[in-house]
Amino acid sequence: MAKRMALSVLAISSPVILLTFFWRSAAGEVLFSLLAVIFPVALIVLGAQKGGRLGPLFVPLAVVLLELVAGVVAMLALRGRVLDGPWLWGLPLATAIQVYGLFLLPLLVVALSYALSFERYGLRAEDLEELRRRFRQGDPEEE
Amino acid sequence: MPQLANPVVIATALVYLALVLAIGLWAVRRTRNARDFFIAGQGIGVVVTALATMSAAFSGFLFIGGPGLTYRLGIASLFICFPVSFTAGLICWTVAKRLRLLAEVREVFTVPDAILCRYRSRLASGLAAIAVVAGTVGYLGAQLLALGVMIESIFGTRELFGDRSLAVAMAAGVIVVLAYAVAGGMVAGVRTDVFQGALMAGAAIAVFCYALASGGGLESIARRIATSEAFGPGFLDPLGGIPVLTAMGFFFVFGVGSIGQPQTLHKFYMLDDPRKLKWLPLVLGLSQTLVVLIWLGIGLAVPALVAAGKLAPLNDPDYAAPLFLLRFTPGVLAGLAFAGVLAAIMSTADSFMNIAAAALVRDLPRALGRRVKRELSWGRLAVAGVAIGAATFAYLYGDLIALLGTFAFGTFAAALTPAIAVGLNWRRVTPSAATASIATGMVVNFSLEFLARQSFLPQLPKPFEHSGVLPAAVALAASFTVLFAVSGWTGKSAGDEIDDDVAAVMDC
Repeated sequence: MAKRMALSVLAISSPVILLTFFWRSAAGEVLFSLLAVIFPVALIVLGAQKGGRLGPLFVPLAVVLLELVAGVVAMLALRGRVLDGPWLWGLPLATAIQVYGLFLLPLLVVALSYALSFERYGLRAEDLEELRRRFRQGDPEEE
Repeated sequence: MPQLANPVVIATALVYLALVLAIGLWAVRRTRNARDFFIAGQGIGVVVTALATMSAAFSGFLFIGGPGLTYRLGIASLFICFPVSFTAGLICWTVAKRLRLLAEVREVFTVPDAILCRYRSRLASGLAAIAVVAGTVGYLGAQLLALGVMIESIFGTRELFGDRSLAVAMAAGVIVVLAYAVAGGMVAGVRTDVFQGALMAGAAIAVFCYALASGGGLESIARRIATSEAFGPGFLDPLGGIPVLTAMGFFFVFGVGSIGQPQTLHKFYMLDDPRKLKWLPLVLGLSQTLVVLIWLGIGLAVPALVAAGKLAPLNDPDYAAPLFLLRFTPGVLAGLAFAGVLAAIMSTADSFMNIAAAALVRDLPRALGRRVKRELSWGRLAVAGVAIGAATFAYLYGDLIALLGTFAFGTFAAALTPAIAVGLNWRRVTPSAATASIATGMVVNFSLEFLARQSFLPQLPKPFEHSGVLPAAVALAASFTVLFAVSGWTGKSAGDEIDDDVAAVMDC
C-alpha cells in the first residue's frame, strides 16, 4: 500500500512538475511549491517501506510531510509581510518558518526516526547474516 | 579576491597544509590494492563516513559563493542549503543501505558499478560513467581554480610571480592534493576528509557565533536589513526576493538531486559495517547543518553591516565572506575560516579525482566489455592525469570551467537520481527505462544550461529566461518522467531479469 502510494505520487508528480514550468501562473507556482516538498517525502516512503508497509514509521513521516506542506503554505501566505507581520525568535514569521521549520526541525524528526526504526525497518542483523551466507564473495587478492 | 596575506592567516594555512600532507603520508603504506584505493578498504566507521561525506559534498562555494549569493538574492538563496536537514535521511532510506549491501555481495566501487549490477546494462552503466566524467571535469576544474585563487590571495604570490601567479598557485595546490590522493587514494582521502570536515565545522560554528554577536543578535541584524534602503524587507522574504519557481526549484534540485551525487554516494561503500548506517543520518545531518551556519551567519551579517554604513556596498558579492573575515573578525578566526575554505575545496577536489579515476579505469572499460588489469597502478595514474588535465583546462578556459562547474550538480542530479533512487526500490524499472532516464537527464540539463548561459550565438533561444525556472529542475523532472513512462511500457516482467543477489539486496 505504502509502496504503491509512493510510486503513484512520484509517477504523477514528475510530469505535473514539468507542466508547472510551462504553465506560468500563480496556481502553477503554488502547485510546484507543494510538489517540491511532497516529492522527497514520497521517495523516503518508497525507500523506507518494507513489504509495502510503513508500520510505525507512518507517524514521523506524516509529521514531516505535514510540517513541510504547512511551512510552504504559510510562507506563500505570508509573502510581503516582513515588517508588518509577526516575528518569531528574531526573524519575520515567514523567514522563521523557513529557517526553523524547513531547515532545523526535519533534521531531528527524520534522523531520529531512521535510527529508532533501524532494527525493524532498516537492516536487521539476521537479514545481513543471511545475505552474507547466501551471496558473499571472497575478498579480492592484493595487487 | 582581496589579498589575505597577513602573518596569522599565512601561518594557519601553512599548519593546515602540513597536517594534510602528514595525514596523507601516514595513509600511503595502508593502500595495497584497488579496494583500498577506491573505497578505503571498506574499513571506516560511521563518524568518519559522515565527515568524509559532508566534506566531499560541501565545496568552497559554501564558504565564499553562498554568502555572496545571499547578498545578491536575499534569504531565498538559502533554499539551496536548507534541504540538508532531511537529505541525509532521504539518501540513507532510498539508496545508502542498498548500495552498501551491493558492495557486500559484489565487487562494487562506484555508482556506475551499482547501475551495472542492478540493470545488467553496459549501456546504462556507460552513460552513467559519462555523466560522472562530464560533471567531474567541471566540478574538479572549478575547485582547482578556486584553490589557486585562494592560495594566491593567502600567500600573496602575485607580488612574487606577477602574471604567472595564478598558474604557480594552482600548481602548488594541485601538488599538495595529488601528494596524498595519488599515493594514498581514498585511505588518505577519508582521513584528510575527517580533519578537513572537523575544521570546516569548527570554523563555521565560530564564524556564525561571532557574526551574530558582532551584529547585536539575530533580531537586531534582521531588523537593520529589513528597514534599510539598500536591501529592504524583500531581502528577508523567503519567497519574495526571487521568483517562487527559483526558490522552490533550489529546494527541489538540491533536496531530491542530492541522491544522485556520486562524490557522496561513493562514501557509503567505504563503511565497514552496513548496520552502522543506523546513526549516519543524525551524524551526517548534524555536521552538514553546523557547516551551513557559516552561510547563514555571513549571509546576514554582511548586508547588516552595509545597511549600517560600516561597509560599502559590494561591487562583487563573492567578496562578502573574505571582506567580513578580514575586516570584522580577529586574525585567528579569519585564519581558521580561510583554512576551512581550503579544506572544503581540497576535500571536494580529492573526492572528484578519485571518482573520475574510477570512472576511467573501471566503469568506462567495463561498459565497453573490457577490464583493466592492475587497477591500483592505473588508478593512481588516472588520478594524476585527471587532476593535471582539469587544472590545465581550468587555467586555460576559466570561464568555461566555471560554467561547467555550476551545472555539475544538476547533471549528476538529473542523470543519476531516478535510475538509482527508484531503480533500487522498484523491480519494474527496466534497463531501457534507466538508460533513457540517464540520457534524458544529461541531454536536457546540458542543453538548457548551455542555451541559458551562452552568449556567442544570440539568435538561439533562452528558455525559461524570465520565469526563473531552473534548468536542473526541468531536467530532473523530465528524467523521472521518462523513467516512469518507459518502465510503464516495458516493465511488466522486469523483475525476472534481476540477479538473485541483487534482488535479495533490494528486498533487504
